[in-house]
Amino acid sequence: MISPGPKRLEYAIAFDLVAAALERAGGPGGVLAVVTAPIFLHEVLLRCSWALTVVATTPGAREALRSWTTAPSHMGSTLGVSVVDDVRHLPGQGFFRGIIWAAPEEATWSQHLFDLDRRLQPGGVLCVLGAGPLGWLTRPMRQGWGPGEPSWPITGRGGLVPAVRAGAYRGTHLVGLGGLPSVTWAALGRLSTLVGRPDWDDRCQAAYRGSLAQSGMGAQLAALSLAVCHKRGQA
Amino acid sequence: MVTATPAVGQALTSLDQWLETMRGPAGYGGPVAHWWRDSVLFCGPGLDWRYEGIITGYLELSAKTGDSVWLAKARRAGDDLVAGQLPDGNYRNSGFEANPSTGGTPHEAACDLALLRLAAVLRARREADWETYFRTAARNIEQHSIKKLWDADAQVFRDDPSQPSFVPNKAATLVEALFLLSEISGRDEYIERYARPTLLGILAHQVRAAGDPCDGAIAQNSFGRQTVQKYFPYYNARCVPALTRGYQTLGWAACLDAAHAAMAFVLRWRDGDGGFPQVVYPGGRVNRYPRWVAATGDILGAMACLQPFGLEPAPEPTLGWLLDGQLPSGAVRTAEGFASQVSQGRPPSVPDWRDLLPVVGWCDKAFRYLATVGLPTGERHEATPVDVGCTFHGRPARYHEDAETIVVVAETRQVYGWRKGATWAEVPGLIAPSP
Repeated sequence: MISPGPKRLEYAIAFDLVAAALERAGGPGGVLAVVTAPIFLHEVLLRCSWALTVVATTPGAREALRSWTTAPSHMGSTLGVSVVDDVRHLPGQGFFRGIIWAAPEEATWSQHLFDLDRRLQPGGVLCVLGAGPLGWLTRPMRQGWGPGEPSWPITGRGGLVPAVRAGAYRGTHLVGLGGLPSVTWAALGRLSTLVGRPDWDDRCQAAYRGSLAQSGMGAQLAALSLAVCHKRGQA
Repeated sequence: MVTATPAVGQALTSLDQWLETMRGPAGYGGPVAHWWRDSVLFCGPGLDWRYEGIITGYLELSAKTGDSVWLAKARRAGDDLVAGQLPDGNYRNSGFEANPSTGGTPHEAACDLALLRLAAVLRARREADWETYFRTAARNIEQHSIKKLWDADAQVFRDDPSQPSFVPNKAATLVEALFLLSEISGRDEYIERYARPTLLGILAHQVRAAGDPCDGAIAQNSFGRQTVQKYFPYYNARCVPALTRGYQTLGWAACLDAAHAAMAFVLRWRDGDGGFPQVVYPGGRVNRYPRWVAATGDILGAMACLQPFGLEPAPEPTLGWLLDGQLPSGAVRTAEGFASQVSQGRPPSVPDWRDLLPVVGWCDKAFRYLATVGLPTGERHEATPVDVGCTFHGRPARYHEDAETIVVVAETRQVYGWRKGATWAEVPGLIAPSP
């Protein structure tokens, strides 16, 4: 049984967007998920209805994956899940229709990007969830932030998203999660509760949820970044 | 007492036809708009409380008409749940607005209740497959509700296994299921060990303060000893059937008294047009929007539940509110006022797209109630597509639904699209553009 840790609505939104993008991508191959935290494994398994290959790159994620494979829970792709211990050891030579990468780490991202890119089919989708530009500011406020959750901004200069944009990808859609508006609404909600106005808090919570995910300029000031990248070519 | 009018019959027929368009290979799907959050990207089959109204409604029609088509539809829905039960006893994608997820409350209890009703009907007809539905429900109750949620110290069912938590309306659905499970299995322990103390837990959350605007209201939930003093008319109505059953089975006058008091609170806050505010707070503060439309079927059902026990409910304003909310597709719109959920100002004349978004897990409540008070007309009509102006994240847009798709277009660009039967909707424009 996977113990994913605190559920975060941002992750639910992010992985819903990932799943919808993968569905739209089409193509014959399966999906590869490279995960660094138990919560990411949990979110992937809830959504994946394709043949799935999983690589867990941190001790926590490996433990969660081991737990799942030895006592399979209710989750998991109806088409089967295979486990690989390292991105460099992906089996076979075939392509994946989509790759979910949550979350890239500073020390290994460049090599992993190279390894993943060559296994992604033309026209396939690379979905990367990482820290956003404001992640360093909001992380201390997040309850139960655990190892493997995003800590390295993927949109920074010389970082992953610029590298992807410079490479073989025809379109990169960036979504920011947990940006300043949502942080503000969350704070106002807590203040409302402190002053004894639960009705205000409920309104702030609705505004918080509505502002959690943003594209465009709002994505530039977010705690988390989701990049959905479409590889050139056709499946 | 509501009379079975042609309008009710036609509404029922149209709603049944629309439900058919929302079926995929593994069950009833579609997006969800809710007070708590939305699930508009995941549109796969949700094995959640939508099945309570669907199965119960079809069983009602079967009993009233004797037409085998209705029992077949109830069975088909029951088969969805049986096939979708996971190795640990939970149902796949039972989280409703939290989908994809599992272990949903009260959703899995609502599925169990529906399955047990189906099992009871089939057993009475001496049909051998009743045991399949019974065993599926019993397995979920034993392996999930009792094993994971029962709090022996607090003597109630937790809403979250990881912390002391109690949600009366959710527990009420489970209590209904426990009563029926006991009745079918012949095992009193489901009542004595679990239903009885849980009913006491529900009663303990009720406001009893004559003259108070919230008198009779049952609090939404509690964490440990801390009660969350929010009172939702809709969720209060969801408590009434279990309380009534508690009176009928256990002879507890306190349960019937509580049901009447809860209903009095609900009706005290009914708006003149038959709708209800979303939530009332201590002192009478209100967050009115969004106001449910399809879901008022459950409030009407609660009124009907209390009628044999002296309630004179006057359902007409609310029945009119519900019927006026039926769309040309046959679905009943979800709400009025999602655009005002933050501001709580008067909603704009153009509805938010989520107001229009037809949700199977809200429409089932309308369907179930209409099935109890009406008869389908038997005339099958070609469903009329819906094409109406709306707003999408505050921008002018157009909502379109037909038998195969739901599409929202803003400024000639599709911003949302779902092909019925698909697991995922399309994403363009879903994220609110930053200013």
